[in-house]
Amino acid sequence: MQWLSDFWAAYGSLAGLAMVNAVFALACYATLSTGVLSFAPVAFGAVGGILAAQLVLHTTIPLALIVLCGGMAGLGFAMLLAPALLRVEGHWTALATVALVLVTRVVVRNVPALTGGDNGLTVTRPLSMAVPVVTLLCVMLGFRALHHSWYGIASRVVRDDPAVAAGLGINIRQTRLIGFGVSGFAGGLAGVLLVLVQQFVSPDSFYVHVAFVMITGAVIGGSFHWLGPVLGAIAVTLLPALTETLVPDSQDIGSGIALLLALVFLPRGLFDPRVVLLQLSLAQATRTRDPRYERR
Amino acid sequence: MTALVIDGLRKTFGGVKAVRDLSFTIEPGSVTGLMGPNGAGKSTVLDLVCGVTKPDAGSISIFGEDTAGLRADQVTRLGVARTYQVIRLTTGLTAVQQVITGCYLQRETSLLASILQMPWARQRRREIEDIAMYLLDRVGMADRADILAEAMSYGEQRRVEIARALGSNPMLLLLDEPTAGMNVQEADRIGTLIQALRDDGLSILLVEHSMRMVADYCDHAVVMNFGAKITEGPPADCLDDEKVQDAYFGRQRDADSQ
Amino acid sequence: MESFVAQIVNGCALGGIYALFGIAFGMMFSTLGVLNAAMGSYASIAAIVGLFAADDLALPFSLALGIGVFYAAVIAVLVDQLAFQPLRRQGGGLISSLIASMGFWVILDGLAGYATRQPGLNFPVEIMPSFVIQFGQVQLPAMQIVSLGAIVLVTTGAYAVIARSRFGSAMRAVGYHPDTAAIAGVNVRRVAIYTALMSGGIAGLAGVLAGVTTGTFNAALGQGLMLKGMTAAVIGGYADVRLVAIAGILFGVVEVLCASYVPAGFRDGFAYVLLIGFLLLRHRSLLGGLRLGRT
Ligand SMILES: Nc1ncnc2c1ncn2[C@@H]1O[C@H](COP(=O)(O)OP(=O)(O)O)[C@@H](O)[C@H]1O
Ligand SMILES: [Mg+2]
Repeated sequence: MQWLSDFWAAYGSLAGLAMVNAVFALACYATLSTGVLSFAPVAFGAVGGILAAQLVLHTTIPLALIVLCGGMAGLGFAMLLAPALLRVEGHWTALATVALVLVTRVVVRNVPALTGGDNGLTVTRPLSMAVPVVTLLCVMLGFRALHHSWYGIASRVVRDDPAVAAGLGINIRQTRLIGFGVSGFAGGLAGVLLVLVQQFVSPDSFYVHVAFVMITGAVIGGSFHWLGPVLGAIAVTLLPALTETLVPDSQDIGSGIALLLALVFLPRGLFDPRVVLLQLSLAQATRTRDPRYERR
Repeated sequence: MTALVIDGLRKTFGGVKAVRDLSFTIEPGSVTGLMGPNGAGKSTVLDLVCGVTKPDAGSISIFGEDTAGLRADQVTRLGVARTYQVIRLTTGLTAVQQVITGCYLQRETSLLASILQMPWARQRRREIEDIAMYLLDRVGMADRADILAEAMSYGEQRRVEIARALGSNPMLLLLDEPTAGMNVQEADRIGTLIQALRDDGLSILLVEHSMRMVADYCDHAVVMNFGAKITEGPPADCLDDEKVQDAYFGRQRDADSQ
Repeated sequence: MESFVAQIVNGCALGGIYALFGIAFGMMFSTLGVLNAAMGSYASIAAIVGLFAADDLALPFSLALGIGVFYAAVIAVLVDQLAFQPLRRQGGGLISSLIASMGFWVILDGLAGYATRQPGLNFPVEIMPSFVIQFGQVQLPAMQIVSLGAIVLVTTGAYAVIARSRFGSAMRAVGYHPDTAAIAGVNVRRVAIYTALMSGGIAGLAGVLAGVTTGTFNAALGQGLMLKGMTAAVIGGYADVRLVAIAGILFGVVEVLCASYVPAGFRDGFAYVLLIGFLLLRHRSLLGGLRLGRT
């Protein structure tokens, strides 16, 4: 077990951050998979994370419960906002959530009780690696269950073509509301994890860079299956560390370039179940009676 | 009870009168052909019936329920299903998965039970899979169930779309040019399927460009041109009607003589 | 009383800068359907390049301004051709171009940060136009006159191009429906390049003016400008430059007047709340009655 603790000491914070970002990316995927681009998980994360910081500082509640509280707080906030956000057309929702992220920061900065204002708060609670690992695994299992449920089926049609979904009797608004709920819960959890992993919270903890990592992870990893955002977020977390060794001070430039390349050359992301299915189908289509098929 | 009553329906798209004062009814358990040249407004009528677009005037009632003020998914729940003139299957799903999406209204499972995969939810899901396979079999696609829809030929995709529409177990089926791009044998298979469905008790509105399909497979025909009904009656009588002949061939004759 | 009038003029000059940015943002959206998150970076880069020109090359202010605008315009065209053009060809919608522009936002801001390395940048005071015009009791410093002049000129110019010129009708055709415009013989790519050029240049102009007005600025200059400019564009209804200009100016005035009553920290929040409010509560713009979004 010695190597494990050595590894954790050297790369623990990076690994922890990768897991946090994976949960954030899943929160973004939750609405994206119903066809809504939203950066609101950053704000949900702020609600969850700040609540967790306060609970850690002022109570002795066990960590597991704190994590859960953060998730519930994110869920509550999401359900409060979702009806308003869903009133507008798709791309305007995206813009409104960007503004929401900025408003959140303004509010957090100006209410020092929340995060100690600009200086931030140190959140001291020794954290075992198990917390982020278990949380991420639970979230992944949750998304897997959603994927196979009737909600998952409905969301795929809603995203692909809302009019068709309505024609099948699927309530578009309800499906998207559920997506927001899931996004809120996952976003809240991610916020708690971020605070616990960094042992620090400030107004800048939940800001535009989180939104960027989230969307980049979901786009690069692929947003047509829950595994995509997880892989993408891990890649996007490790990428700056890698480019930093090659080009010092390069910041997020590498991720930005990766995002653009993915958009143009891999529009469905790294992990796309359709690619496999298409290969299988084409093979089978040529084998069975009808050799006429078309590729889209 | 009458399957569909359309009364004084009107729809304008920025100056284009796509549907004007259209009225007709569909008797239960019959196949009604809605004909007319391209641009006559047939697809717009289907969109209006499904509640995807809202009429400017007029009323639609389905099995006695007025659809005014209902969302499209609520209209679907009255027992309506449709196919599209331009195929609109979901990207990335196999044939059987497409049909399962169509069975959404038959799921009989609460959200929570479905997510937690309770035993009864799994049981119902297996039943739905059987239903989907049965429907694929009905349209002659059972052996292609696990193939991605976008890897299929045009005619096959149309058949999958019909199976998906049947998934919600509808009472009124709206088909928008289901035989477009098919050869005569394929079209006849669809025609036979339509008659079999009618014999099961479905009421069908078949939008068709082709006079032959209407003559061979419909019980009743409504002919539109420029958004308005020009005639209605038994298919054979309609096709002989001079106004119909004019609508279909008249303009071309004029153009030829110029 | 004089101080009130001075405040109004001050607000108009500030709002004029927001309005410039709003016009640039709205032009890109209404013509090419791109919600361009990278536009703030164009403004930052223009300000930084303008500063280099003024400081290191000791060029006069007007030349420095011109170089900044030119840089921003060139970058805007590069971004359009590198990212938005391939996506347009693929038929990717608004969302993919929005995400792409976020990629460029990060890249350009990273580069800008790389280039400056200093926390605070200042335009050298000596090269600034420093005259003051006296209007009765009210004094108009030179920079306010420049800002006001810029917004008047750009609004008239952009309106003349979009509403009156042949090229403007091509722009409107592309904005209404790119495919139909292409069938009708409009060279969509050319329209895209010129639109990016114009909007990038206008954003750059806003950036340099904001850099000068702000006093000390850094690579994040464009971010703040972008949110306020975007708010102006949303309130003004995008398509009509005149309405966007009015909205931006009003926004500046309200901001300056509110500054006395709202705590400093919340002042920016005001813009964001206004933006969210307009996005959520009204589907139509305040001034135009135009539908938000493209037909
Ligand atoms: N969404 C729409 N916007 C504008 N015009 C439309 C729209 N849908 C249909 N139309 C117009 O309405 C008329 C009827 O179209 P449609 O119903 O598709 O005809 P059909 O299905 O009989 O060929 C056509 O002139 C078409 O251009
Ligand atoms: Mg049609």
